[in-house]
Amino acid sequence: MEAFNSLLGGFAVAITPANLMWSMIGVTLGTAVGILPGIGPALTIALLLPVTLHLDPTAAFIMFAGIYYGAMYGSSTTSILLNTPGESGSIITAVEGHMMARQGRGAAALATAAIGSFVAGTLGTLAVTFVAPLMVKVALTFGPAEYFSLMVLAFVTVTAVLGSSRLRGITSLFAGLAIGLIGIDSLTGQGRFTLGIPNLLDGIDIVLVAVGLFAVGEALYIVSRPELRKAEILPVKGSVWMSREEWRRSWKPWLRGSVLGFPLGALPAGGTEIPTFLSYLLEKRLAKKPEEFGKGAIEGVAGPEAANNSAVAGVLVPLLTLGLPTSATAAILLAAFQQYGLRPGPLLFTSNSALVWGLIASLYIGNLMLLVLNLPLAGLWVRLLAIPQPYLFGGILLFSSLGAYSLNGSAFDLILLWVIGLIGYLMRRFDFPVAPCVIGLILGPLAEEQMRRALSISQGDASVFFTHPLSATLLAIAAIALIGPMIWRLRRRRAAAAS
Amino acid sequence: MTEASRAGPGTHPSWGRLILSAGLVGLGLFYVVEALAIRVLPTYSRVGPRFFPYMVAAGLIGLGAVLAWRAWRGLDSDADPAGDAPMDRRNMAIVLGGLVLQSLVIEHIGFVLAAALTFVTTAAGFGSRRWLLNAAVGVVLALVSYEGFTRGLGLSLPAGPFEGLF
Repeated sequence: MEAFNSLLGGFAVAITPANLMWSMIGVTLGTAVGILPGIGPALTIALLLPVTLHLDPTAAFIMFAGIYYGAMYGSSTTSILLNTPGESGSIITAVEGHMMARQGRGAAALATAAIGSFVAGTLGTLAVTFVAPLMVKVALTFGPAEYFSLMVLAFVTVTAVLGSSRLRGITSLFAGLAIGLIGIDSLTGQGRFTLGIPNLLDGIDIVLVAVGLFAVGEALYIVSRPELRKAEILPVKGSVWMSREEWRRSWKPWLRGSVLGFPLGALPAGGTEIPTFLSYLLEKRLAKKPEEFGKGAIEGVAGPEAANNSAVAGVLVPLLTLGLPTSATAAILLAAFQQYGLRPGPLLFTSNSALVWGLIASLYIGNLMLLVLNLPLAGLWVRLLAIPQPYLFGGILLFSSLGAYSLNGSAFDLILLWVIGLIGYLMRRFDFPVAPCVIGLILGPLAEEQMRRALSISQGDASVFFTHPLSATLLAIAAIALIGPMIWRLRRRRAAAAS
Repeated sequence: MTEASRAGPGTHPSWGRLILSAGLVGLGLFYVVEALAIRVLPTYSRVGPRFFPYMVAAGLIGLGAVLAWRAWRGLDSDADPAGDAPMDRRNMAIVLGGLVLQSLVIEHIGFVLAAALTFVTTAAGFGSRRWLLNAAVGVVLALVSYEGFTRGLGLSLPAGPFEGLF
């Protein structure tokens, strides 16, 4: 009941004309960047950070949340019609959805994706509403040792889950941690790793790293691969109104996807890839006609698209209640909180309850707006894909330079921008996932702070991390997540060698 | 790794990956040297400002060493994830060159000209050679952003000949 009252208060904040406008701007922008290949929600929010410095934080977060949700809707459109996923959570949709579009059932695929996203987004937001206050109660018992262990767990799961190789994921994380060390040490006030360059005393801004890795790195990679520069866009064919048969085949996957997505998004297991993939496998197993999978089965669009939106809602729970980002976009959102001098965590729910609940309420409204924006208007949005690639990337790099320069008003940041962009190119070329680097960068300094705090409370006794039961449990889970798969693979290899 | 993948695409060392791993080890060693220069107060005897940097440096060196070993044995595929067509170095250099040039000249020629320059070089890299049209689009886009962001949102961007026309 308490959550219900808080939510009502949140609606009072979200329903003001100004905040409705910010929500509308957010979902529209989000759909657009979701559709456009080469830009995603993390990059968009990063670019908007310097610009929104003087904006009211509640309005800014309502807009950012709209962008995050909207991008998930928009990216399914690109996956279905272009066969290039707009976001990593839509990789699976690109498989079945694009096959449907090839068979002239593109409109039905878009419809089941949009309605499924709406169902899952609403159910996911409902879960946030009631789970977040419970998580706050748990989070209040956390001390520095627990926070540090939780971050270690997040480091492990994020690197183990994202990308094709856990070794390369961990390397990407450590690169982020290394960049995060640059600047003034928060506990002793002295500069570290600044090479005597005064511009580095404030550290390398996460906006710069995100824009460099996502925008510049992506542009350099795509321009270096001629085969990535041409793509065929399929026209939207068929009726947007799904047939009775299509409804019958979609509603269960929507619900199953929602149920699967939320907890996997809320656990520090990193992002939307895993739940979408699991939902796809589940639907394939439960389908009456599994042979249709890979040839355009509607269940293979409905389930993963629902899982992906519900996972996005799930990501907000650890972000808001613990200050723990589990995806690249969540890492940028954490940076946004820091920009306004806010610290996400259990105290945020009491100190800034209007902001938190206004944000949650705006998710319900944003979801409804997105359904209207995407279901009847999908055909209009597709025209965005007609922007010629030279202009699209010219524009992306122009706005990237604008955002990078305006951070500190210094050309030094533009030099850092292309240096980081080159690193981003190399990471793509050699198949290193980018997200762990961004998460390591923002979480590294926080983890160091919590670790040193825990150790100064215990007067240097490192056993605090193992004697506090909660902290020990978190570390044990981290150890299992890190070593478990290795042992499993080793045993399987032995078994294979024996037979 | 199974026998099949060991005999697969890369039984020879992957030089690109080897250089990258060497870079990681080098970075880790550099972090150790730099961490030694951090001043430590006597009261922070156990976990001061050096501890976490040491852990990160150790991680970089260890990961770099493992990656280097794998690269030497050719265990990680050297193929580009996007396909095996030859890399387009020329156009990549054009896009990168535009960004480098912009970072050097922006404070001399102003935001609008520098950003328009980046727009034109990027568009050229991506295959559009309509220089005049692209330059016009770039200048208009940069000018609109300049006016919008400096007036509407109070950002400060360097001025040049175009800025302040309105």
